Parts: sequence; C-alpha cells; structure tokens
Amino acid sequence: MSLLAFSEQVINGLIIGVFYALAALGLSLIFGVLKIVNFAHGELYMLGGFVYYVFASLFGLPPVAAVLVACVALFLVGMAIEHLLIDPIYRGKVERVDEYAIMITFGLAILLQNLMLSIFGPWTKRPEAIFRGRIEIGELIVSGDRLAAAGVGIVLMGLLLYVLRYTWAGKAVRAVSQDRETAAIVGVNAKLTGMLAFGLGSALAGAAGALIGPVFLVYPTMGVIPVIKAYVIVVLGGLGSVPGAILGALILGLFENLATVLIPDTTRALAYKDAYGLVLLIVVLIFRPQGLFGEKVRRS
Amino acid sequence: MTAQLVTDGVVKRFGGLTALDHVTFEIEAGELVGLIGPNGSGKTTFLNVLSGFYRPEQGSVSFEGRSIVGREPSALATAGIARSFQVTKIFRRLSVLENLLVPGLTDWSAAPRAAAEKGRAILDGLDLGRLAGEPAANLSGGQAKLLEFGRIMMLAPKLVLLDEPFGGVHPTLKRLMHDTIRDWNARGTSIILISHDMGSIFDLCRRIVALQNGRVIANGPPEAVRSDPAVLQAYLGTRSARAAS
Repeated sequence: MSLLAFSEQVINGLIIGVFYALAALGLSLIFGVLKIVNFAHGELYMLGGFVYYVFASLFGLPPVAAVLVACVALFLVGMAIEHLLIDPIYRGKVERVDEYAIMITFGLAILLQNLMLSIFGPWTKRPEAIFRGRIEIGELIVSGDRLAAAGVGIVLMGLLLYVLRYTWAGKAVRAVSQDRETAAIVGVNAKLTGMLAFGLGSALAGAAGALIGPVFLVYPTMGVIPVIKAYVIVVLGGLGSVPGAILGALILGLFENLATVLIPDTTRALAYKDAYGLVLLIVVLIFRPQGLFGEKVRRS
Repeated sequence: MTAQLVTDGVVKRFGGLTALDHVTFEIEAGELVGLIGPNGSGKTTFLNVLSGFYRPEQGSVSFEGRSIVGREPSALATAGIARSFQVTKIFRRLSVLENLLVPGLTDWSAAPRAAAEKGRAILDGLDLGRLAGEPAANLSGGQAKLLEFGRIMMLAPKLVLLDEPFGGVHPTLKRLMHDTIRDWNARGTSIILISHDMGSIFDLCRRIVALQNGRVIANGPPEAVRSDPAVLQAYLGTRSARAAS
C-alpha cells in the first residue's frame, strides 16, 4: 500500500471512529448507570438524523445549531423513555429485569422505526452538510463535511468527559454506575441520575445521527448497522467503560478501513467491511474476555 | 423527651414469609439502642425499612414527627438518617478520599477544597489519613468498615443505623469504632446498632431491643434483656434457657 493510500485510510478510519465513539459512549453510559442494554440505541441515532434533517434542511437552521437541537431533543426523549419505560425496573414492578429490558427496548426500536417510516416514508434524505468543500493536505484529500462533523463530534465528546469528570451531576452518574445502593445512602438521587444518564446517552446517539446524516443519508433503518458496531465497541472496550468506548471506537474505525486494502478488488473489499469488526471482537474476546478496559466479573 | 423515630405496627412480608410482624419501636434523640436477635429475626429488614429500601405493607414509620414511608433512601439520607451495611458497601474504584467527596456527601455548591479538607480531617481521625490516595479496593475489611464510618460522618446525620459494624474486624480497629460510636452519641446523634458481638452491645448500649421471627420479644436496659427468659430461649433454646435461668 502506498503511503498516500495508507494515510487516507487512517484519516477515514479516525473520522468514522469519532462517530462510532459518540454512539458507543451513549450505549456505555446507559449500561453503566442502569445496567441494561438499550436495543433502541440505533433508533435514537436515527431520530437524531431526522431531527437534524427537519431543522437544517426544512427549517433552514444553521447546521451546527441543528446538531445542537438534535442533541437537546434526544436528551429530552431519552429522559422521557427512562421515566416511562425503564424506571419501573427500579420500582420493583418488574420481576424478570433482564428480559423486560430487552423486550421493552427492542419493542421501542420497532415502534420508532415504523413511526418514522409512516411520517417520512422509506426514501433516503440528504440533509445540509455541516461544511461544504474539501480539504487538501498535499496530495491527501479529505472531504470537508466529514472532517467538520468529526470536529463537532470531538467537541461534544470533550464536553461529556468534562461533565462526567468535574461536575456534580457527572460525579453522581459515576457514583451510581459504581453502586446504586451506596449512592442512594449517601443522598444521591439514583432515579434522577438514571434519567440524566439515559438523556445524555440518547443525546450522544442523536448527535452521531445528526453528524453522520449528511454523509451516509437519513432513513428509518439507518441505525441498524451502526448500533451493531456500537455493541461491538462497548464489548471491545469493556462494558460501562468510557475510555474503553472511545478507544474501542477508534480501533474499530481504523481496523475496518485499513483491512479493506487486504483485498485488492475495492468493491469486494468494501462489502466485507462490516465483518472485520466482528472478527476483531472475536479475537479480543478470546484473549481478553472482559474487553480492553473492563473488569473481570464472576456471575454468581 | 419526644421520640425522634417511631414505628407503629410495622409489617413487612416477602411472599409467604413475614419478616417484620407488627414491630412497634421508638428511639429518642441522643439514645444508643442495641438491636439483637438470632439470624433471620428481621434486624436488617427493620433497618432497610427505616432507611427507605423497603416499604412496609402495614404500619407507620415517622422521623421527627413526619411519616417517612415511601420516601427514597437518598431523601432520607439528606433528611439525616445515615446507615452502614452488613456487607460493606464502598465505591471500590474511587480513592479512599474520593469516597467521602461523592455528591450527596458534598453539597453541589460546596467549595471543593473545604470539602476535601473536611474529608481529610475525618480520615485522620479514623487512622485512614495515610491511605487517602489509595484505591478503596485496596482497604482491608476492617478499614473498609471504618471508611463507611467516615462517610457517615461526612453526612453529619441525626440518626445512624449500623448493621454489624464489628463483623471480622481486628480488635484494635474495633476499639477505634467503639470510641467513634461513643463520640457520635456524646454529640447527640442517636444510634441503632445491630450486632452479634454481645460484648460490644452490652458495652455501648443503654437500651436493648430483641427481635425474634420479626417480633419484638424484649425491650429494656441491658441487664433486664440479658436475663429475659424469652431472649434466653430465642438464643439458647428451651431446655438450655431453663437451665440458665
């Protein structure tokens, strides 16, 4: 592989890794605090894409403002979902917690997909790009919309890390994710923290959908493949680990892009792209079953 | 004096098992009451009701004159009821000092430096000062129990519920725990202490309540409870109790 082709794949891999990281971070945050796997995460990502499309393309809002609207809208949607559908688990109203969480989030995913299908139809939409044009570094050409979207994504991730590390609310999220009962007896409102975590996780998924919408188009089933990658990433990085999710996403992005050059025929190589992540996951799980940053847990 | 915490006819059931059977109990502000009883007598269930983890099916629980049934554990912690757990619960991935600085223990508006100083002073008092920066996962069982004590002190509660604090603790640490409990009590904090360590119970408490099968079978000064036939029977069985009395 020439150095140019290699650099191109590295840049593409890192950019796509940022989008993966946004989606995976949200999933990881929700799992960390509420201990449930959100099977509707891909549909929250899709909703983010649609909110962005409506505000940027139909209402003519500046693209960055439309991304922020998507974040806020999905934050509110996430809080409402937690309050209505997930909270019963913690009120002792659900007997089989794991099964309930799978069924309810899976059902929500189907509902949201079909809701968008009935409102917008099955056709793809291409919303306004965040930035038009391309950036040239020597012979290397990077499309501007992807780079700008990744830039906004990095800022949002930085913001999340700051909130988690330094703010009172972020520390509450970390405390509840370590031990819900202990957090409760020191006065942390676990219910509100759960809503906050689901809201933040949904906002990140929405941001990813909004940022990627102009690049990969917006349609009701757009979340299906990316969310599988988000699952791969959170398992790869270690369930509930924030640095694990970011690193896992960048590794997956790079691995997928660099591995395509293994097959000389580009069309065939791209067709296998989604499979590489799963191969990587299998290899990591053989040697490190708890993921890169996960803790070993023995289930009793 | 008026009672700080009152329970009246509290019933808690788990399926067919009645864990608490019409428990009527009260503690006055500044009292130190021991709660004893054989395994499975309902002691921990009672603490779980008082701290908001369980909601009783019947009966009332009031703290400082207001009903607390149905209130969240976090709300009760804020209202002044702190507790420890039989199986120590600490944030293992945080440092020892950070365990005392989690939200709830520190007000969101509190100055971080002042909170950290308070935390350090508490750790020094519990002989954990030199371990402040260590991950809490590295603490021994006894030290982890002391860290729970430190957490209680950060909350500055009015009522402390201690569930088996001396289980598996080295005698030196146990003495420190005794002193700390006496110190809290001397400052006016009321305490309910569950322990199988009868030496500690009789040493610390001026009143003891005994439970068996979810019912209060004795309530009074240590000497009276120690020789109460119902208590002897609960602990020793009928024949031995007759022989002992």
